[in-house]
Amino acid sequence: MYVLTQAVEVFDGEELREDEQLVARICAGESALFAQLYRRFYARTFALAYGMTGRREAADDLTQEIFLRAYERLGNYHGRSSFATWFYRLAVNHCLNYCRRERRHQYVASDANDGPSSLFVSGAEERMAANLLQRQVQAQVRQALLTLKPEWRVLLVLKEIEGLSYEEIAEQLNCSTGSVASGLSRARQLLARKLENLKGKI
Amino acid sequence: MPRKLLEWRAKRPCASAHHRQLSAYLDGEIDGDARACVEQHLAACSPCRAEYEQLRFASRALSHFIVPNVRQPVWQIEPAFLQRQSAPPLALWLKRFCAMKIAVPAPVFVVGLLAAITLAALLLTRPLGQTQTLAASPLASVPIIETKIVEVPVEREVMRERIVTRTVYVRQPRSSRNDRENPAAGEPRLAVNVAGRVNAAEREQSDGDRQIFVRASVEGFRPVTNANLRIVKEPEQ
Repeated sequence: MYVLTQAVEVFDGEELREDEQLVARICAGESALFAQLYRRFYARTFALAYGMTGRREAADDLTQEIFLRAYERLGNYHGRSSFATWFYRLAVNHCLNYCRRERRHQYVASDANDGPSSLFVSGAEERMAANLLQRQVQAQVRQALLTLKPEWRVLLVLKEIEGLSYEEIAEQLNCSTGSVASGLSRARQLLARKLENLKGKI
Repeated sequence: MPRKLLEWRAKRPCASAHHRQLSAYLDGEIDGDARACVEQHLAACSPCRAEYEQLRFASRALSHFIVPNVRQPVWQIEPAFLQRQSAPPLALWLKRFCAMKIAVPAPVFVVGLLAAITLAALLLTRPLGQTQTLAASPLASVPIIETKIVEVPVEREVMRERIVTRTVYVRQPRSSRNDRENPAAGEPRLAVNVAGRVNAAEREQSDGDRQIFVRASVEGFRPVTNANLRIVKEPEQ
């Protein structure tokens, strides 16, 4: 059906400035130009997917799914908002659906090097231990984020990882900036409560 | 507004409007006078200060969330996928259908709904066995040959309504002129594998070979399938 390969990138014509122009030309039949959109949006989409799933493989799959879905539905884009908004709204919705589905299946994300364990630091190993500690903190933060409900998680991902403004988040989630503010406040409190044991370490 | 959010709001430690702005203040979403107001409030209100610290802590913790640096795969779609695109998906048609505004008066709608439910209930509650025998029985399509009493050797008692099969010999009918040319027609007998339902059964012990016979009145023998018809000489009695 579709193949995503790690091959050398193919040359697909001149770069167009506007996303909207690109979309119009893709809809007119130049489907190869979709590769340009893909290049532009890949990094942010992957970050969103990784933030929502916390696992590399799942994020890869999810990113592929999002782009395929966007490709299928490109005809539904009528230019009411910017293409980026339309695209990320689709991506966020897809991620939320995915997370809800995963939760129904009671999937518990786990990694081999996750979970806190006591550390005994001694002289020469200090640097390595610091590195390890850093990785443990990262793993713990990731786990804590994953235990939040997808509705709270998406707010934190969009704000803290994607670095969007309240207005942009509101646009993507189709709600008011007020709800974004109160939701973020709530989500941060929940996360802080889950990470009580890290207080003072970071 | 969701009940949980309302409950949460009721439990907040500080009732002032600034409390709601803490997150926006942290993210630099408010500026000017409003920002100065929040700062003033923070200096005065200790619950708000504690909460602000919580929010800042969460924000700081999330800076430890590292998205792995991945090499972007190349986008490539095979022609088969493109061809699939040319046909509009079913979902699109459904969506279009739902988007159509068809005005139906409420009573008509209710009556239609009730009729649909009744029909569905009737279809679901119909005895399944009946339909199965009708569909599966090979006897349904072929004509009855004869009704007779036969002796059926069986190991167990023949039950009423049980289907028994037997080979019977019948004269082949002469139905058309062409049959005259067929020397097999008329004279020989047809050995037909037949089957019929047992109407009544009577147990009978035969003396010789210790076999239990059941004298069963079997009604409505029909050939099992046409493929079973074959021409043989009638066995000598």
